[in-house]
Parts: sequence; C-alpha cells; structure tokens
Amino acid sequence: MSKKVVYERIGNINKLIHEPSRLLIVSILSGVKEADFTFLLRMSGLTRGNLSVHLSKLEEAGYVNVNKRFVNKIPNTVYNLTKEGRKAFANYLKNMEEIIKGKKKEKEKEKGNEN
Amino acid sequence: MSAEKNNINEVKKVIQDVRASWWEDGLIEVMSGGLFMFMAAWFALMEFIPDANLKKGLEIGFYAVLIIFAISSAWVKRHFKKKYIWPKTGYARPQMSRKSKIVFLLVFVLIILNMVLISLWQLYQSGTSNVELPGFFIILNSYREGFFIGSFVFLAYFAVYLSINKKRFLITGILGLCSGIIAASILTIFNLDYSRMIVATILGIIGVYSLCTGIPRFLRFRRQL
Repeated sequence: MSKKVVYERIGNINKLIHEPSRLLIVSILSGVKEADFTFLLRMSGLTRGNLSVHLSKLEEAGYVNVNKRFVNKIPNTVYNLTKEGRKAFANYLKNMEEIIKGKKKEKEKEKGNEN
Repeated sequence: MSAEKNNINEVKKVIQDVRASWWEDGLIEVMSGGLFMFMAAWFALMEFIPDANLKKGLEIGFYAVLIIFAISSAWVKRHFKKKYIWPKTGYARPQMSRKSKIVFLLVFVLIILNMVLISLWQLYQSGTSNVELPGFFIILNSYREGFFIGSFVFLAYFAVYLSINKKRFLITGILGLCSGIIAASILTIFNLDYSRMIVATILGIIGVYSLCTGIPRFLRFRRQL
C-alpha cells in the first residue's frame, strides 16, 4: 500500500466515531444488544453531561437508537447501535487495520531502502 | 503506527470487558454449579433404583430436565439481575461473539447426536430390531457418556471463554473434558458398560468447582455494590 493510499485512508477516517469518548461509547454498545444510561456511565467513566452530549451526536448521525421507557415506574433510557452504527463501526475498525498494515509495509520498505 | 495499533487493541479490550460484565457477578457459575450437582444427584439416584422401567424413565427425564433448565435459566437469571443487580450496575443485554455462537451450536448438535447414539445403542441391546452396529461403535459406547459429557462441558465453557477471554472458564472447561476422558478410561479398564456413578462423580466434580468459584465471586460482587 503506497503512502498516498495510507494518507487517503487516514483522511477517510470516520471523525464522528474516531473522537475518543464516542469511540469508547460505540465500542461499549457494540459489545451489547442494548444498554441503559447507568451501564454506559459505569463502563465509560465519563461524566453524565459528557456522555449525554456524545450520545446525542451519535443519535443525530443515526448510529444510536434511543428508547425511553419505564421500569417499575422509574424512567429508564436504553441505547443500542443501529444497523448503520454497527456498519460504520466495523468500517472504522477495518479502515484502522488497513492503515496499520499500510504503515507497517511503508516502514519495512524504508528500512530495506536504508540497508 | 503504534498509536493506531493501541487504539484498536484498546477497542477490542473494551468490547471484551463489556461482554465479561455479564459474568462478573458469578451468578451464572453458581447456577451452572447447582445444575451439575442436581444432575450428579439424578445419575446417582438412577444407579440405586432397582426398577428397570423407572430407570429408563429417569434417563429420558434427564434430557427433558436439561431442556427445561436451558429455557428457564435465562428467565431466572434475568429476573434475579433485574431485581438485585441492574438497579446498581445499570442494565445491558449481552451479545455473544460469532465464534461463541458457533461453539454453542456445536454443543446442541453434540447433545442431539448423543441422544441418537443412545437410542441406537438401546435398540441394539434390546435385540428386538435389526439394528446392526459397527464394531467400533460397541467399543466406543463405553467412552460415549464420559466423552460426550466432558465435551459438552468443555465446549460450553470454551464458548464463554472465546467471548470474554477469562481463564477461569477455560479451566472449568478443561476440567470437564479431563473428567470425562478419565471416566471413559475407567469404564473401559474395568469393563463397565456404563456406570452412572462415574458420570455422577464427573458432574459432581464440575459442580463443586463451579460453586467454589461462583459463590465467592457472587458474595464479593454483592459487597461491592
């Protein structure tokens, strides 16, 4: 993979998912079918406000589905990754792995040229 | 390059930790330990009952109990977690990895295969049908129960290990498989066609180990909440 292709791939990284807090949230949601706000708060270690803002951004992008309901008369909000969200996350991971592979090949090529 | 690689490795670690959170309370280990102890008691009971028809009924009943447990355990776990655990830890519905789902499917296939083999063996032994069994099948019958039970246990725990990468599940699975192979060897060495007490002992060992790992974990988890 040439340097040009590697840089193109870097440019194509999904910036919405790449943001560290959102990457963490999407990673957590990819490991479950659905989870509530308390679970996400506990697993991510983010503050309530921070988590809320990032979930809203992901919901706006269509990556996360929000389902508000009542459990024993207590409001409970449950989140899950949509089909688009899972696809976007899978593509993000695939892209990152390709970048790592490409960079590794470039490094080996440079080492070979030096020798 | 190392920043991206760290990124990916951390993502994979997060996904594993999330899947492992379903198992962190030890509840499932306690339930499976209880099931193994119940199955051990069932097999031991079958050994001491003199009536042959009742024995056969209990053998068929064993598989019915397994199916009922498989269906009801999910409800019991969910109900218990909903009442005592989720209010503190938050709620999540687990998602198994694809590899784990394939291994669990293999467990069911093996259970069905074992039931077919038992039926064929019983038809052959009854002498009332024209069932002919190859020589190796007759030799293998002594290994059947020990090997199959050991394999079920190993595959079920291995499926969990694949999903969450926690060694204690792999150890329990290996313990189950080794117990099954040792039991099968004992059956063959002492020329016992099928000893329910040996099967009861295997299940009892796995049950005790599961309870010994599950109960302290559950109590520790409850204290932390």
